[in-house]
Amino acid sequence: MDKKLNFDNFLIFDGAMGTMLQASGMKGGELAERYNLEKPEVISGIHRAYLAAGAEVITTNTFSANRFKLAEAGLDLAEVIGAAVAIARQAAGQRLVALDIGPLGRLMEPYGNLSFEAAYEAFAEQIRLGQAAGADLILIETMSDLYEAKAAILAARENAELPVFCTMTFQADGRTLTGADPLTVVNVLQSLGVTALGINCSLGPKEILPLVRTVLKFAQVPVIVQPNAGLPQLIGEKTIYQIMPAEFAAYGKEMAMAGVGILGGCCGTTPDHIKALKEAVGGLKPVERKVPRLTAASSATTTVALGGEIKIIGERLNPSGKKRLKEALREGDLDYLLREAVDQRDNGAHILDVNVGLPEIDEKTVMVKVIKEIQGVINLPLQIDSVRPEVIEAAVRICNGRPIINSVNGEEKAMAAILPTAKKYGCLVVALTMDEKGIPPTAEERLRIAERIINKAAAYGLPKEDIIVDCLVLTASAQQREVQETIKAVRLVKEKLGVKTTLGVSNVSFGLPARPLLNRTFLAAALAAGLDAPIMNPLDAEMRDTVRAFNVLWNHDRESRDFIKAYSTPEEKPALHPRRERKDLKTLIIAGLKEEAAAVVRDLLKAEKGLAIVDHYLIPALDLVGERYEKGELFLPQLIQAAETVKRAFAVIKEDLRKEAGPAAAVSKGKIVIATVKGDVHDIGKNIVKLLLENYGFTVYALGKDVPSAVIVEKVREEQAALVGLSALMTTTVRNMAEALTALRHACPEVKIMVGGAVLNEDYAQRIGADFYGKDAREAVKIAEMVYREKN
Amino acid sequence: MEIAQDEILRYLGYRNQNPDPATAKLIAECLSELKAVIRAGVVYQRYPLEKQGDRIGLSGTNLTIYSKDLSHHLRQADQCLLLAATLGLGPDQRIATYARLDLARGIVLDACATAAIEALCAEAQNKLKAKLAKEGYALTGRYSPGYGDLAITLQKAILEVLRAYPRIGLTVNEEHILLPRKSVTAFIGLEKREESGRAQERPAPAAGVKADDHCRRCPDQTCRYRKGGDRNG
Repeated sequence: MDKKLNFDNFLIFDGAMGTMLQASGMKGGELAERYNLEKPEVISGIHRAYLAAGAEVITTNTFSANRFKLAEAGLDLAEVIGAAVAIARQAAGQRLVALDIGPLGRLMEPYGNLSFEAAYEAFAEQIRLGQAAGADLILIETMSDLYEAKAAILAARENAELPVFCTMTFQADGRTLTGADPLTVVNVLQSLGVTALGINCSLGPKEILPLVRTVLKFAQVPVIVQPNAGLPQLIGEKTIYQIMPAEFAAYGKEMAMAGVGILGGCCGTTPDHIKALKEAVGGLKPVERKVPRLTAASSATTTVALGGEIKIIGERLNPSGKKRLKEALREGDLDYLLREAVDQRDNGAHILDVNVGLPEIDEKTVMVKVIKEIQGVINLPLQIDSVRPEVIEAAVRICNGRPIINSVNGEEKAMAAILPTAKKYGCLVVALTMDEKGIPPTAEERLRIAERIINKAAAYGLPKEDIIVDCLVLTASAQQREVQETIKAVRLVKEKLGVKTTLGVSNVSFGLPARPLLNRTFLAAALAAGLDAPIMNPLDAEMRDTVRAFNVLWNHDRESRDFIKAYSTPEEKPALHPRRERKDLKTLIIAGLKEEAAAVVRDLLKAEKGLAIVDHYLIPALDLVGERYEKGELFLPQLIQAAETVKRAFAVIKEDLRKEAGPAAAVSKGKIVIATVKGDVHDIGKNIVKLLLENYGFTVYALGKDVPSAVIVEKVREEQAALVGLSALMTTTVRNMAEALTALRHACPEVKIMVGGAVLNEDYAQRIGADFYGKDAREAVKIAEMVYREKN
Repeated sequence: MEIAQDEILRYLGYRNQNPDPATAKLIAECLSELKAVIRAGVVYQRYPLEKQGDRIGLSGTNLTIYSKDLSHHLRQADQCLLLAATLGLGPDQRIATYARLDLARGIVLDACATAAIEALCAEAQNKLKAKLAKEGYALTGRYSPGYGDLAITLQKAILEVLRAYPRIGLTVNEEHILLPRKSVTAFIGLEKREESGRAQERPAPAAGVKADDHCRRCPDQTCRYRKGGDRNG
C-alpha cells in the first residue's frame, strides 16, 4: 500500500464529514457513525462529493468509532468500521482511503481514569478492524493529548502495516489542550515513526499559520495541515464557520509554499473548499525541506534540546548510597520520590534521571508506577535509568513524551538489547564508552567505542543525533591519572563525532573530602571540553553556580540575564524568625512554622524522650488548634498548616526513634485504611483525614481516589486493620460506597467502618450500614481513638 | 477574569472574617500560580426550546430533558444557551500535586480554582448578555445538572451536543463528574424582552445572588459551600 503514497506531489485530503452530515439533517448530539449502518448512501454521497472536488484521500466516517463510544450507543464496532471502510473503499476506486481515528473521548490518567494500556487496546482494536476492511493508511487526528496520540501510534505500528499520519489540534495560545507546544508535538510524534505529522481542527488557517511554520522548522517528515474553515461564530441561532473557499485556498497555497506537503480541511470545510484548495496548489511542487535533527528530550508538554545552554540532568532519584530513598522505595512511599523530583525541578534541573534499582523490589513494576506518578506531577523530560532491558522497555513504553534511555554500552549484547527498543519508542540513548573489557584507560579507546555504538545505532535506524555519549568519570581517589582522560575523551568525541555528551560528574570525588570543590572544578573543565548535559545534584549550589557562570562565559546566557537574576540581589536569609524558646513549640505549631518547629523538636530530643514530646507538646497543640477551629477562631488553611507542622515534628521524632531502636520502634496507635470510593475523584477531604489521623499517631494506608471495593478489602485484610474510612462526595458515588460496605462486611466482618463526605449525614450513614459517620477529620480522629481504645 | 476574594474565603470556611496575614499571603500566591496554569475553554450554542409540560427539547438536537425545576427556570424563555466552561487540566494537576506534598496550599488552590470557574462562567455570561441584549433578549441565571431535579446524568449528552471534548477538552466520567474537575455546564434561558419590560423585571442576577438561589433550590442541605448555612469546611 505504501507505494501509492507519493510525496513528490501535493497530497490532497477531503474536508469535514460532520459539517456535511449536519447539512444533510443530522441532529446535534447524534452519533455520526450510526450513518454507516443506517444511511450508507449519505456517507457515500459525501465521499463522492469530495472525490469529485479532487480529493486524493478520503477519510472514513469513523472518528468516534471506538469501543467506549459505540458500546454506549449499542453498536458493534466491527460492523461499524467494516461498513465505514467498505463505503469509502467503494467510492474511492483507485484513490486512497484513510482510516479515521479520533480521540477516545476520555481523559488519560492521572487526570481521568483511562490508562495508557486501555487506550492502546482500544486503538489497536479499531486499527486491526480498519486494516482488515481494506484501509490504505491510518489517520490519527484531532488529538489534543500527546500521551493518547502515543498510544494510538504504537497501536498502529504494532497492529498494522499501514502508513500512519498523525495530526494534533491546538488552542489559540499555540499549545494543545494538555499543554504541548508545537516543538514537543513534532519531537514526540516524529520519534515514534509516523509517516507524516501535522495540525488539524481547532483553529482556522490564519491562526494555524504561525504554528505550521514552527512545525515545518522541526519536522523532518512530511507535514499535513487540515484547518477548520475559520473560527466558529455564533450568528443568530447558528454556529457558522466563516471562511469561504477562495480565502481558505489562499491560505492553503501559502502553507504549501512554506513547505506543507499534505493539505485538507476540518470542521466547516466542504467540497468547494477542497476544490479551491486543489486548484490553488495546482501549479506548484512541494518545497524541498532540509531540516536538521535535534537531540531533544520531551515531557508531555515541553522539550529540552541539548546544545547551547548547559542542561542539568538531576541525579537524585537513584537509590545507590541513599538510605532514605531506598526505604521510600521499599515502603512504596511515592510522596517522598515526588518531593525529590519537585525539589530538583525547583532547583534548576532540566531533565530527571529515574533509577529505582534495588535487589529486593520488582524493579519493572515499581519503575512503571514511579514514571506514571512523576509525569503526572512534573513537566520535565525523564531519563530512564536501569541495567535491565525489560525494565527500560516497560518504562519507555508508558513514558509520556520522548525519554532518554540510560544506557547502552559497546557490548554487542547490550547494543542488541537496547538499540531496537530506542528505535521503536523513539528514545534518545546515553552511550557509555565501555564494553565487555571494561572502561578503557585512554581517551582514544573510548572514542572508538563511542564510534562503534554510533555505527551500530545507525544500522538500527537511529541517527547519531539520538545518541548522547557518556565518556565515564573515574574517581580521583582510585584512578587519579585517568581523570583527565575523561576530559580528553569528551573533547575528542565532540570533535570527531559531533554528538552531544553527558557525564555523571560527582563520581570524580568519591572517597575524598571537600567533594563539592572537586566536583565543581571537574565540572568546569568538562564543560569547557564540550560537556552538554551533566548528570548532577541540582541541589548542589556550587555545581549550579559553576553551570550558571559557564553559561555566561560561553555566551549561552545572553546578556547574562539568568546570571543577573540569580546573583544581583543578596540571597534572602531564610531564618527570619528569631530562635524560639522551647515553650514556644505550641505557638510554632499553631502558626504553622514547619522548619522552626522541627528545629525546636531536635533541641528538645536532647533532653526528653520522643514519646514524651508527642504527649506534652504535639497532641496538646493539636487539640488546641482543633478547639479553636471548631469555635471559628481558626480556619481550614490554618488547621492544615498546623497539622502539617505536627507531621514534620513527628518525622523528626520517628527518625530519632529509629536511630535508637531500629525501624520496629516506630510506634503506632493502630492501622486504618482509608479510600475514596470507586468512581469518585475527590481527594482533598480524604487527605485531610489522613493527615489528622497520622498526627494523632495512627498508621494510615491511604488508597487514593476512585478505589474499587476489592482493593479496599484486600488492603484491610493484608494489614489486619481494625478500622476503615470511606469517603464519597457525590450523590452518584454514594451507592458505590454502599457497595464497598457490603464487600467489606462480607470479607472482613470484624472491621469497623466509618464514612464521610459532603453528601452524607448520620442518617444516611446508618442506612447504608456504616458503624460511624465522621462529619469531619476531627470526628474521624475521635472515632479512631474510640475504636482502638475498645479493641485494646 | 475577576476572581472574587470573598468567594475564595467562603469556600475555605470563612464567614465574613478576615484571613490572618499568612493565609492571605497563601491565597495571593495560589491565585497567581493558578492564573498561570488556567487554560480557559468556553463553548456554547443557542437553541430554540420545544416545551411540553416539564419536558424540554432543544431544537435541532437529540437532547430531551424532563425537569420541573429547569422548566420553571426557563418558564419565560423561548430559547436557551447551552454552555460548557472549563479551566483546563492545569489546575487539576497543581491541586493534585499539592494535595500530596503541601495540603494547605492544595486546599487554598482548590478554593481559588472553584472561584475561578465561577468567574469564568460569569464573564462568559456577561459577554453573551451584552450581545443578546441587542436582539432584545434578557438572560436568566445559569442552571446546571445536579441543581434541583435536573439530573446530573445529563452531563454526557450536553457535552456531546456541544462537542465539548474536541473543542475544549471537557469530558465526564462514569459517575457523571466533569473532568477536568474545574468545569461547569449550564442552561441559560433567553427571554424575549417585551415593550412593557416584563422580562426586565427579572434580569439575570449577578453571580453571587444567583448562586444563592441555586443553593436554596439544591437538595444538598449539608454542602460545605452552601450559602447562608453555618457549616464550616
